[in-house]
Amino acid sequence: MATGQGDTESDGESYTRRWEPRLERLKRGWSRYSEHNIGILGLVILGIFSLWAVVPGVFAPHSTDWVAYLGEPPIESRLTAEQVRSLPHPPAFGDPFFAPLGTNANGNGILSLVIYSASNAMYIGLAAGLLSSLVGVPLGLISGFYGDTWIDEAIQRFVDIMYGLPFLPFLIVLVAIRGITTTNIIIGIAVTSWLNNCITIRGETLSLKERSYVESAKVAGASDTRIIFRHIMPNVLPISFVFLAQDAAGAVITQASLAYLGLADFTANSWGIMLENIKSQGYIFDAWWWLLPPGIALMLMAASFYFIGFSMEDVTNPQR
Amino acid sequence: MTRISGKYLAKRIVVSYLTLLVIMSLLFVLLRSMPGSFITSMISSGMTNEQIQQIRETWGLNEPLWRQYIDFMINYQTGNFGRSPTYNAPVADLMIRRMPRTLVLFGATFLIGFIIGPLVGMYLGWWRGSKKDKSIFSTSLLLYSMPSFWISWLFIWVFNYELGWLPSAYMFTQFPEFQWTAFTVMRDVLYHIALPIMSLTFIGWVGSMLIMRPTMNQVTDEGYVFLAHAKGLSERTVMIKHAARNALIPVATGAVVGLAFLIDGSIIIENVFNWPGMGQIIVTSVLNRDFPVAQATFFLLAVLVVIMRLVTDVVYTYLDPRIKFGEGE
Amino acid sequence: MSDNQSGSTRRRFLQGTGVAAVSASLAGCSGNGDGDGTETSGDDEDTPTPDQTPTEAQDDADDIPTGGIFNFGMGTNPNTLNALSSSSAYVGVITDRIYESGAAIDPVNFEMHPNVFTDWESEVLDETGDNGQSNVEIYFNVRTDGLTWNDGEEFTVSDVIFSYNYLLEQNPGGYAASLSPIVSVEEDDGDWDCVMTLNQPNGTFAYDQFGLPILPEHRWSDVDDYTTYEPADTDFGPVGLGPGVVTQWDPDTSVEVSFAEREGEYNLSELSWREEVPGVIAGGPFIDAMRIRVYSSQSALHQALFQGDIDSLYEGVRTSRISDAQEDENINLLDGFDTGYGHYSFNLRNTPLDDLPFRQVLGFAFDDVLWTQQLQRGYAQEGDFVMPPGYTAVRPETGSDQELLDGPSTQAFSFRQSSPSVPDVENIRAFLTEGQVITGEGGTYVGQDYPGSLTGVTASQTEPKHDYSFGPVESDVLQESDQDPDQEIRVNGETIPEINDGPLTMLMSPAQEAPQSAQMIQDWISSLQQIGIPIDREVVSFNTRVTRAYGEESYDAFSMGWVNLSPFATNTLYSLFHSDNADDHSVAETEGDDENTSTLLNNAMGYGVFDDAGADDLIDEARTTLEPEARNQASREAVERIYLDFPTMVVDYGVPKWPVSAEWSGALENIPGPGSTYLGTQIMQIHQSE
Repeated sequence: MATGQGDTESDGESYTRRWEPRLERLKRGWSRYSEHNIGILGLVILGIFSLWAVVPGVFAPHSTDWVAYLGEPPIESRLTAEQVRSLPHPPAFGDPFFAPLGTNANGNGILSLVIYSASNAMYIGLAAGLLSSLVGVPLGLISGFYGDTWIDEAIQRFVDIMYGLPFLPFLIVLVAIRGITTTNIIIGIAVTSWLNNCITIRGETLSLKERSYVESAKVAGASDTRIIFRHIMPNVLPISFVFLAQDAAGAVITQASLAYLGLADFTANSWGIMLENIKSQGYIFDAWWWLLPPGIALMLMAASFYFIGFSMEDVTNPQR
Repeated sequence: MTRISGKYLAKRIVVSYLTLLVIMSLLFVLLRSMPGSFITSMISSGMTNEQIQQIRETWGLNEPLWRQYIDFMINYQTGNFGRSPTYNAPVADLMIRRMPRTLVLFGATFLIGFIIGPLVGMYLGWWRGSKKDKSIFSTSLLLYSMPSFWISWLFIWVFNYELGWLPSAYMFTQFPEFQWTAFTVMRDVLYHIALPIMSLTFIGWVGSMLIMRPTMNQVTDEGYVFLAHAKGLSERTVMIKHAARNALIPVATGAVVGLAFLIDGSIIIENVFNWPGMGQIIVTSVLNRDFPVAQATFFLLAVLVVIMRLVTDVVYTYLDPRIKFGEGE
Repeated sequence: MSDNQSGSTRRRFLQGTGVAAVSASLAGCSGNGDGDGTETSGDDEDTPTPDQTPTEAQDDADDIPTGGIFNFGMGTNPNTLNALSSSSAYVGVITDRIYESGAAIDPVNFEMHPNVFTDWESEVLDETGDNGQSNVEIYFNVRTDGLTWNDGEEFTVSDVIFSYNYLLEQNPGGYAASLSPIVSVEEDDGDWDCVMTLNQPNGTFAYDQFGLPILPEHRWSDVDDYTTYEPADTDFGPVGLGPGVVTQWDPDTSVEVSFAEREGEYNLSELSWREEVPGVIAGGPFIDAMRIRVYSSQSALHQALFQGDIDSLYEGVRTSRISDAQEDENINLLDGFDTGYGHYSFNLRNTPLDDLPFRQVLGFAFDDVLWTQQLQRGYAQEGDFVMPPGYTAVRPETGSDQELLDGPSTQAFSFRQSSPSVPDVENIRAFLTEGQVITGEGGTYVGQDYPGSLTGVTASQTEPKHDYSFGPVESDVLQESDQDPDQEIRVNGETIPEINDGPLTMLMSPAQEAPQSAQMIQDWISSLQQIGIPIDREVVSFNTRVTRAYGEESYDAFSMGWVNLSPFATNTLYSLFHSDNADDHSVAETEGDDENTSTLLNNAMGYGVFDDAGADDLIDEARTTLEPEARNQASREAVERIYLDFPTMVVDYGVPKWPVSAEWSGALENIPGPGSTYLGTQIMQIHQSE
């Protein structure tokens, strides 16, 4: 699809003429994408999670401050010793309270927590994915465009160095330096995950810059910046979306791993923290209703990113 | 087959070495940017300032940072990793004790992951687009999306807690009633490693599959596969003998990525299964600010990665004559 | 790794010192007031009260079955066998089987008894040292009736002299507090074996100075620097006078301490005093060996207990598994009580924390019922004084007719609620604006009667220092708060952020090990914000928190805990609440930074540094009083003064539930720290059930 468009907008062609091929390309892309069931499935799952993230109140039976037996805040009474001992409570449907996925040890509804946590995972996934693209894509472009020069060499050596630092421990150090907040975790993930991105984009760029339309732009006297961002970047964008999706999935899982190690922001509602809590409070093997939902949600969130990513890859794969 | 010039090899080795030096410098800076120090845990109430100075002196914290840095760089060249304040032991001893345990875990996972992954990848790539491909591929992506500690918990729950078949911790029976012989050692390690390996490979094999599948798909279009078909060779023979062999090249180079996955995975798995290896100590040493141990663990893992990259690069060149240096695929 | 973040070194603070060090040094502070240890105790009827006598299945020592291997689990690995360089409680589990000290304490009556030293006598001299205190000479005899080192070597008086002088010369940090008063230890010219000179009177020298470990000269005389010595690397392992020898050592997974394979003779367990202490069985150890398994997480540790892989574990069963343990017929749960307390402490150097009524309000806002009954599930006792309920002799209730822990004089700062779990905002505000203070006089404060202090002491400060009023909400913290307070506090007309350049900050640990603690702090902060006090929390790692609080004293409030406090109170009170152990930042401001140290001084609050908050007089009196009852009376007064002055808010005492497999009997119940501080006593008397 990367046919040389040789587009020169300066000659004032009509709006439609300029946009038609792009629209056309998008349409073709979509039809190719929609051939993949998993691509559609990924979008559906992500769609549901997005709705959970945006309007959790619509889906969740309770707020996150809801406490079994006592109800919603403002809570002006206390749990009896008997009630406290019944927590974490298995799923209950109306008797003695309504909590379809049971409660945790503090009496908060698991289902509500799972739903309210979607925004955190969504935020971490997208923000870390975007950030790592913002670092990886430009560096990959530059590295590829100036292939075999000192610039390329410098960037590649830097990538080598970063590869040498084990990801998770490095992240732990970063979080330890900067403090345990969601923002710092995102930054940490992005700092360590742009490498694959950069290498692939570089490879793409290396082959793209040999293409005739890039050559002709060069001959026409276009500046390097213009060639990189005007002519090459649009063609690597699709593949960078693939990486964005994969990085997002990786970020979601990494955040959970950090939470497992006790290094996630516990005040934010997140699936990782829910799992961390079941561990630190000692109910892993006693409360399946608390153990399974956050893990499944994590898995589905990461999987939906992967599904979308791999379906997109097929769209961008020029061989078919 | 290409010839790898000695000059190229020498250059690569020098570059790798320099990379390591930079990594070490980076490590030094990063670790010391963390707030707190292991000294906190050694100082107690009632100590005089002189005593505290004495402790700082003993552990070399009174030296200016640049001096500590230079000592660190020089000591590492000579293989002197220093002494751990929290373990009160030479760091090298700790590493020698722990490194093999982690390597056993790495090795076994690597082996299993790199057998299952490419096999499935080959199969899926060959039949790309088929119903089987779609269902197996999407399932494997689901596996790939599981947090490793979570799946470990599920395995422990089933195989240890419910069924009681497999142990959930350690590498050996701690107080064995049997004699240690080559056979019992093997049996005991296998028994203990089963769950960690299951948890790691359950997710880990997908990585190499993901590399194998598209390349397999790519080589099916290549001339020689076509030729093999034309020769009337069976589908199976063509798939395995001709296509897969070529598709394996990128998988081999993907081993570096696999290694990175393993390092991350082993940190979690070692912690879940109390496997006393490098992954466990790297986390505790960072959290305890035990700089000598943290430095050494990071360093050894970095060495592993850098060597792996060097080897795969060289192997890649050796295997694939089409590759020009300095360029991607 | 769960508990690993946590890690091993933080344990020294977290879990305090080992058993050997019980006698030697002060506790550490626990990272979370409610760590694994304090979440304990059972239903009310199970809660031990100290008047219960310790119990245990009593057998005649001769009939006690011997043999068997006691399997013990821990959640953190012992890093070293060097008892001097590590104060980790987990190292202590092993080294306390190896080393013995001059005198021993019994965990039932808290009396000091002969151990390696057979008898002693002290004499206050006329001469005074540099510190203006009288010097004291302590004469003692050393046991030479057949006791040998555990490698079979002969034990002599010169070992003791060597040992003390080696410690004095090396001065290991963990023992510094006990070593500092010692001027010299020498052979006596007269009737006694040795003489020790102290630079001040100390009524508890048998606990402090005689609690130091005795080291073998033939092993340690070559060790120039104790910090780099590793007994585990030697041919025999650590050598001491104790009953055990280390026969297997893999600190990451497993350690074996054998009693059957000890060389030479061990006779300390046969001393006659043991037979007179109720519950204590003489003549142990009855087991062949103790095998210690190290687990990476509390989950795995408890799993091993329930599967029968281990017979017992360090400290106690975690809250979530107590009911499982109660139902499990293979496990007996032994009750015990805390050796310390969990606390929130305040920096008295900062305005308005320098003012008593303001600090007291911080107590009114702490919902003790939520903490002890709900978050701790009833497995913690509500905190009041800085001495745990087990140490009755030094609790202010002693000598009064009020009930321990529940008496109205212990409830002066309990949660003030308008309806259950909702703070009584109006009346708490009124307490401040009307200029009230709880000084120890009886009266009604924020709707609750207080009968007056138990020992008759009053608070150091009797009038408010600042003028409090409430006005419109201005500070960011309160405006952004979910609590939507309608008013904000003014101190002398200014908001707190105006005075301090920001709101008050509570330092707290990341929630991984103590999610309940994190929740509690959240609730407390919410209550304070409702009242109109701008306070925020800051999550910092344990290391950072220790540095910030105990090193630099740059904080407003923080939460931690103490364990292994001295049952004799004096050393504890001195270490935690005396101005000698606090940095005086006001001096530094005028005379330069030299006066401030980054030393980790235990009195982070700065209590005693200021005229209007301190108990130095009472603490000094207690420390130098030799007569026990008078000493305890002074300690009780100091304890209650500290309570009224409120530099630290005691939030709870843990109630440990220590599990022991039904296959074993003989363990003591209703003692402090049954599975931690006094684990040593338990190991000496545990034996197979018939």
